[in-house]
Amino acid sequence: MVVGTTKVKRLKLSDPMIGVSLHHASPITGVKENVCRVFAENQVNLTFITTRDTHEGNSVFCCLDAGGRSVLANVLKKITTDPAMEHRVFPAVTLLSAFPHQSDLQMMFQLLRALRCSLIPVHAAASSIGALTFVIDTNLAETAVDSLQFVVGTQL
Amino acid sequence: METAARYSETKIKTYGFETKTDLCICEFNLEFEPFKQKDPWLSGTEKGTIPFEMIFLGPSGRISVVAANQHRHAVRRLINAMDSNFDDTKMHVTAPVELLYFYGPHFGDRFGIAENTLNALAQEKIPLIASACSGSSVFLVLPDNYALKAKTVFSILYDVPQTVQPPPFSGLGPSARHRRREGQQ
Amino acid sequence: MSEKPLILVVDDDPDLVESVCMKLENKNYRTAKAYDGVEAWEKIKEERPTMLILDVMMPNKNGYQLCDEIKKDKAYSNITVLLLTAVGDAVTSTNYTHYDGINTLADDFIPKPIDMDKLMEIVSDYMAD
Repeated sequence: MVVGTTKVKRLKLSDPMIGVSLHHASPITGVKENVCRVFAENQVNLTFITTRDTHEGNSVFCCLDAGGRSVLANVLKKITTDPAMEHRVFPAVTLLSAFPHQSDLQMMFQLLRALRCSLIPVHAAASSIGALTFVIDTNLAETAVDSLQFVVGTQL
Repeated sequence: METAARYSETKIKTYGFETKTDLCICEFNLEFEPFKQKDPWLSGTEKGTIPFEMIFLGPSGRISVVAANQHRHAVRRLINAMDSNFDDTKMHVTAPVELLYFYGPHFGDRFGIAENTLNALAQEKIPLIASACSGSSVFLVLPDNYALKAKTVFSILYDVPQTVQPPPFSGLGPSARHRRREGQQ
Repeated sequence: MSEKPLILVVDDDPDLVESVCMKLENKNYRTAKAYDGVEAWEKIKEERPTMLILDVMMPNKNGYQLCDEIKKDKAYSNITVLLLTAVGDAVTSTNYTHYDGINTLADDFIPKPIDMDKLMEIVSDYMAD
């Protein structure tokens, strides 16, 4: 069954990428700047990145394209010298974008709900001007598309 | 500055900067209830769209919604409608905050944009609450009264086109605009 | 009262499509969106836009191909086509060049990134013709 009552017209999958989650358990400054600097020095493109600084600590989630795989270990070594920096690597993630989102919060929740109800872990998500992008495991990408099509009623 | 294998710019070009003020950031965890056969959300009978400015979430699953401060109660109502067990006290609201966003051609395919942006803010001691670079957009959540200052910094750092440059083949194509220009000369 | 002109914005970058459409709607134009050349052709046939703001580098069918098809089809050749092209000096390696554009029949060529206000001026100029 496809319901398709939302304004989303397109779904788009990226090529497989590598997801990296970093969390520093104290509110020190310079964490995200350092992460981005080291990746840029190694000419690694961060296709997707979110950062959040709170009183409890600083978090960064980023996705790099497959070209970054060869330098990832070296980059992580530089970034995680501080023992308070925790990291987790997601070796094969895909960006699933739905657009246009038309700034509709209700619709965004429905997309997230569809993914969660299909037991698809969403490692990260962010809106851009026109699209909502979900970071999901590559091996679940087709299932994720099916579950969103249920809500948006559109083809990939 | 080289920005990617395919791009080489002395100054990164953008389409310009937008700022939004008097916003709030609502953060919460949400347990979504399964879809029902006659789900009011899916059938479109549930009305009342709430406009957001930015949304992001990380591996913890905590959802962050940036919206106009005036919509914060509507956001709460919507969450309650989605999750009947939602504990209101678990929603954390920070307000007022401001938003600055910009985008440029193929930003998502180029390295160095995030570094450039975050470093510029750090150098000017502009605190950053949250950020997201997705697609070809960069969104920055800033404390109250910082968006304009950040915009000024970025206006120097990035190239915002002010005039339309004629392409190299101007006049070779059948451009009505070019023909008109020639006619005026 | 005459209907507001419809402008179809075509680009595979949803951020650009959304931004341009928002600007156009603020100027009281109606807008339609397409994200590749094939979808754009369908929208052109369905909705008969007055103007196309068309990206060059797109999947399925690129902007040059679409522009040529439109301009060679008598039923649609009167649609104003503004080509948005990022094949400027900043791009050091691409399959597209400005010279591919020489032979197209587009009404105007606008290099990316463009000042949105200037784009609105250009749109307004053509609409006034």
